[in-house]
Amino acid sequence: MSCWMSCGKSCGKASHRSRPRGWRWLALAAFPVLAACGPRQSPGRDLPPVPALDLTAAEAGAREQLEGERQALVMLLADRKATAPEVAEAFGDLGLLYITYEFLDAAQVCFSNASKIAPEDYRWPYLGAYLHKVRGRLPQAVEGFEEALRGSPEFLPARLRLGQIRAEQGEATLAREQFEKALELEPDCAPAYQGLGELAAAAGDDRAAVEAYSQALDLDPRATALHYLLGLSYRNLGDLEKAQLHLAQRGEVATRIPDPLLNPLASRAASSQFYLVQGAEALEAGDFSGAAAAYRQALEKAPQTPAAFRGLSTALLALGDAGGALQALEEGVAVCLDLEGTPPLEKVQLLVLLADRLEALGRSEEALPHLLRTLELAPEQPLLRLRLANALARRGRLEEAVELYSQLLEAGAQSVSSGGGSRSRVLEKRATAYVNLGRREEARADFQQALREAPEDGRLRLRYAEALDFLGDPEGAREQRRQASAQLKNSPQRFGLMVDSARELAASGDLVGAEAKLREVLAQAPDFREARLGLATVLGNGGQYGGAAEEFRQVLGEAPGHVAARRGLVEALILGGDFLGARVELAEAVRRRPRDLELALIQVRLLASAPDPRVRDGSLAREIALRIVEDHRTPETLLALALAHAEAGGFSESLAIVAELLESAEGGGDAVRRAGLEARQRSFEVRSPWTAASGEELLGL
Amino acid sequence: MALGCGFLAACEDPSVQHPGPVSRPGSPAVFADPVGDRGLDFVHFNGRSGELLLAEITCGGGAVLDIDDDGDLDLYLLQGRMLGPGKTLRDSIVRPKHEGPLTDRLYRNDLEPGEGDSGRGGRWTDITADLGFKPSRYGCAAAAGDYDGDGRIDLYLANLGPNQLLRNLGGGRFEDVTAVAGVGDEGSGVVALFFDYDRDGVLDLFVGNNMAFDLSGKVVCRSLTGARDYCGPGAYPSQPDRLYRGRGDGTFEDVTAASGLGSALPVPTLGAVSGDFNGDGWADLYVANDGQPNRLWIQREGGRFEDRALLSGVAVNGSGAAEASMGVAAGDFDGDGDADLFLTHLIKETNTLYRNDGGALFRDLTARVELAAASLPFTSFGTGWLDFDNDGWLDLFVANGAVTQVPALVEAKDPFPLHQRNQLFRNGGEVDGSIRFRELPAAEAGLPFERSEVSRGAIFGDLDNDGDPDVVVLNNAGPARILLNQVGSRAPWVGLRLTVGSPPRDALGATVRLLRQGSPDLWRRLATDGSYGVANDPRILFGLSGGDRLKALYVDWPDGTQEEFAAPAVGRYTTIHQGSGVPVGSGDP
Repeated sequence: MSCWMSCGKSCGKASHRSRPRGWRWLALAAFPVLAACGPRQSPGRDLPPVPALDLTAAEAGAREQLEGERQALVMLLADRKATAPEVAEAFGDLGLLYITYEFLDAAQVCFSNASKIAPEDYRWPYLGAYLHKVRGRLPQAVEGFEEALRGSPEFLPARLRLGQIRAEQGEATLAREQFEKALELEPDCAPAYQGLGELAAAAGDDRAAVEAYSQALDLDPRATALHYLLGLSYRNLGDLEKAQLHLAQRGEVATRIPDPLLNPLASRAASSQFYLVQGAEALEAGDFSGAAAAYRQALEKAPQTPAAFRGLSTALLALGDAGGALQALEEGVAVCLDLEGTPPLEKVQLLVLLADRLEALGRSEEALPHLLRTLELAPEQPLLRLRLANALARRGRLEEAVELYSQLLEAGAQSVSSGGGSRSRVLEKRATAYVNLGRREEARADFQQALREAPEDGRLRLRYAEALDFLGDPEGAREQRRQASAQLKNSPQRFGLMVDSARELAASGDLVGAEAKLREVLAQAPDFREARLGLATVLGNGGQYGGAAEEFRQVLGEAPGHVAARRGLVEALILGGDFLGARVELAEAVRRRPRDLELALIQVRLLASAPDPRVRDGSLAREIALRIVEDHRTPETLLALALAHAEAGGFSESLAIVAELLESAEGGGDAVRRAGLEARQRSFEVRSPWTAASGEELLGL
Repeated sequence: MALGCGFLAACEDPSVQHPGPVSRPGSPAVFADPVGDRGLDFVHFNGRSGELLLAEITCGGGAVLDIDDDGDLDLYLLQGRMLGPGKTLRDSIVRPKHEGPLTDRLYRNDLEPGEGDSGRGGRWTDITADLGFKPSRYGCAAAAGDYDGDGRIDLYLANLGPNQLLRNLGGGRFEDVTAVAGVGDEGSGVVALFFDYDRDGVLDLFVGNNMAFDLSGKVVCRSLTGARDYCGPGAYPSQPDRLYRGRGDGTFEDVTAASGLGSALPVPTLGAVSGDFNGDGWADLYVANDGQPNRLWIQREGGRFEDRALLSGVAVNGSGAAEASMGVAAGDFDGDGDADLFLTHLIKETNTLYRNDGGALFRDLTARVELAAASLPFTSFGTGWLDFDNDGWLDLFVANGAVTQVPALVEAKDPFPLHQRNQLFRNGGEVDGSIRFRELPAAEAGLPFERSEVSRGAIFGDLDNDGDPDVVVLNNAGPARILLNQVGSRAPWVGLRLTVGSPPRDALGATVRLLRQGSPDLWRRLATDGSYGVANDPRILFGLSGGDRLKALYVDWPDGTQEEFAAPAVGRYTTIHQGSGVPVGSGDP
């Protein structure tokens, strides 16, 4: 064992953190000499060594970080002036870094050493206990958490984790004690309620479990795993309806222990891979801002990482920043597509996602070249061929689509299904293309073959019925519909088809018919969210804003994170003239989607020019508008800023903006827009803020 | 010790390979290695060439089956080969250790009468050369069953690539009948099982596929530090499972879509087990998926299956999280007459025990029965319920081996840094209304539990016919190991072989209830499925605590009929054929 390894508190004081980096490396070079210089002054301590790690295969950033931190500790140990708390802190720091990268053995040694050097510091036994728990050493974990609590009885994470272990050990009384103490410390502690719920469930008291889980869910609605626990408890109580309702909302996000020591680890790592994993976890947990930040960090560490571009795009899209999402993918393709070391599959994933985004924005023609490129990169992937065929069919390039579908079918069932598709679905697609090409017999043959392969697929049968109608065979269509109806009786598929049909009615202007159909679905399946959303939209489109808001609220009651419902509710409230209610809902919507430009603009307009003066708040509107314009300088955002300035009393700023907008609008053909700007200009000239004439104006309709 | 005990962490790590067996004279251990060279020289070859392909660490399967009908179990072991386009043995990191061609191996058990009692294990003779064909695909899992009803047990091999159905011709010879039978699925088969789900007396076949593995090394996955490591389940596209219905003429019909199984999106399957989980008399299917919710296919009328896993409480663990779900075993650990489920998972996840409370309503009882903590440091694969001490309570064996590189082993420059030791858990029986398991330390479990290897499959069967379950551990890139039970046969036991049809074949899916005087009834289900990638002993063993007086035996046959039989003899195997007992009505006996 080298002499530094046994260094303890008596190593003396060090100020290694303030020393210049160059000095540190010089000192490292001298370290072997220090190591050989004989035992250090560390009476009573015989510390195990900090395990050195084989980092040869690690990313350079991670390697430097880990080796640097370890060497800093080595330095400190060699410094006779370092104090015990300093040395313990350094061991703790290194331990936390090791946890970050999941070198748990090494981390355990660090915390053990830190505990020995500074036994009065509750953090080290706590972190050691955390590791023991992760590694299944429950008695040692209990010991460590209890020690930490002796040092800091109000340290909530230790109480919660100790409670969890006691529960796992079947020590219900001891576990309950910890959870209840946690609630005394923090009455809004969701994990404590979850713990109490689990104890109740384990004791067979599912009613109490439901109560506790519900409280936890109220406190932490993002913890979607609680829906599973609630679902099973309701199941055990025999309430299958509620059970199904919660099970349908099940997710994997657990209640989060507020841990000031372990939670910040997320920002410590220096490898891109770490942030990729973190981004993926944040996405799964619904923390889109966190995910975007993590993916940006990953790109900072390794700018040519396709997965980071993909993740960033997904996160931005979830935040409502469709432009940013698209830009991330375009950048990703530009940076990664021609890289030699990047696996083709990763390039394909980038291209597919970019094509999807473009299609979603209605830019299908631009998507096609990207999909074609995916086939060049991975010609063996049937799913890519299918995707391209579908895209071509959507663009009306039916002959080409048919060719690709035929290739897929000729390659055999195995090929299609290995790509996650099904042969009957490909046959259906080709049949649809044939219908549109007027190749009746081939269409009919494909549908019939598809039905032979999937005879119980009622949806497919309905598609065939539609095709038969189109092909002028109403008798055949009726028969297929009869069979489909029997197959789809009361199935979600049938309800989905009814919703589709209601949509078609609404699109054709038959709002009454659409409403009736949607209400029919909801009478049979009140939890069918798609139907309720559809009903809300139909009501809104029919001017029944109160009813629409009510339906949107019902959806949000079950799914508070539902983006479309939240937006729909805001719009219904504004159009219905409930500006006060709209302001509250908008605040919530923006909190959930902070980068949603459209929502932010509505918020500014509402705060700056709502007809209801109680809603208006010029300074807040200006603050938000300035933030928007910083990132998105468009005529629309500038006009919103002008409205906000005016409401805040800054008429000169407002006038300057309007003048700029009028100047840029000159020569353009949009007379209505110019007239609108001039009206606002006149209002600002007499130092009068603008008041919107209607909800439509606020929504920018 | 190579690592040096200065590295405390490494010394504490359970996965570090022990330098060798330690003699513990006089201490009774449950399992022991066979004495001397018994002829089983199989060493698995995984074909790794340094690309860290997930496929290379996924497999390790085999089957025990009595191929020659001589009353003892023979052994079929699946072999790997080089992986990756254009790769040859020259690219391999480790040369194959097995002598001869790189093929699956069939070993005949040459157990002599009475030899089982010696505790030494039988002798194994490699009869691969006589098979009649060269089984040289990359094998991953095996299923055993008499699919054509000719009285001889056949084999289905799930490979990375086209699967194979091998018809047993007798005399140790097999014929590849895949094409005729129509069961040559081309996915990455990791589990297969025979069962008669439609109760027509003909075996049906389920095949579980994992993912379309990239073998080119183009898909690169990394650890948190950015070092290259094995990929996880999200790296490749999942492949759909298959359900084939036996037509009775030696061919099968793909009923994946018609049965409802095809309605589910493909997810990476790893394990599967059949059983009548809701007690309605019809076989159901439980499928364990990697990192995705598991599926409980409950059979409805007309051979249709419906996934009821979520409401049943077996889709995810008790905290609501989907786990890695590699191995799975069904058994009645609490003696209440229904099938409970045990699943094995990844390191830092607990293995999961779901207790069936009847009607396929399960609860996650893992922590309460004290199976949680012990599994956290391990990545587990093969597992099985076995009453190793014949006390009437089903115990658990768990085969371990990581799937991402263990830092302490990487640090130690280990060439294959995934190895971990295996575990044995004893069911303490019901005490004050609750059951607890205890992991046996190696001193009690036996020296094989000090070994650290990359275990995958674990086959369970009474290899020496002495009335207790032995284990064959199948190691990835390592030797197959036989763990001979040294203690079970000291307790009284009853062994059964249940047969149906003419010529007789194993009654897969039959349920047996043994009535005892003054003690609770014992329930067992005849199945060869479960664990990971293997086919187990089709016979049933009942361990009897001392002094049990047996009253009667009831058998629920796979076709739904029930018969009563006189109490079987203790200390020997008895064959019971359908139709030889007293028919029982639909009422509870």
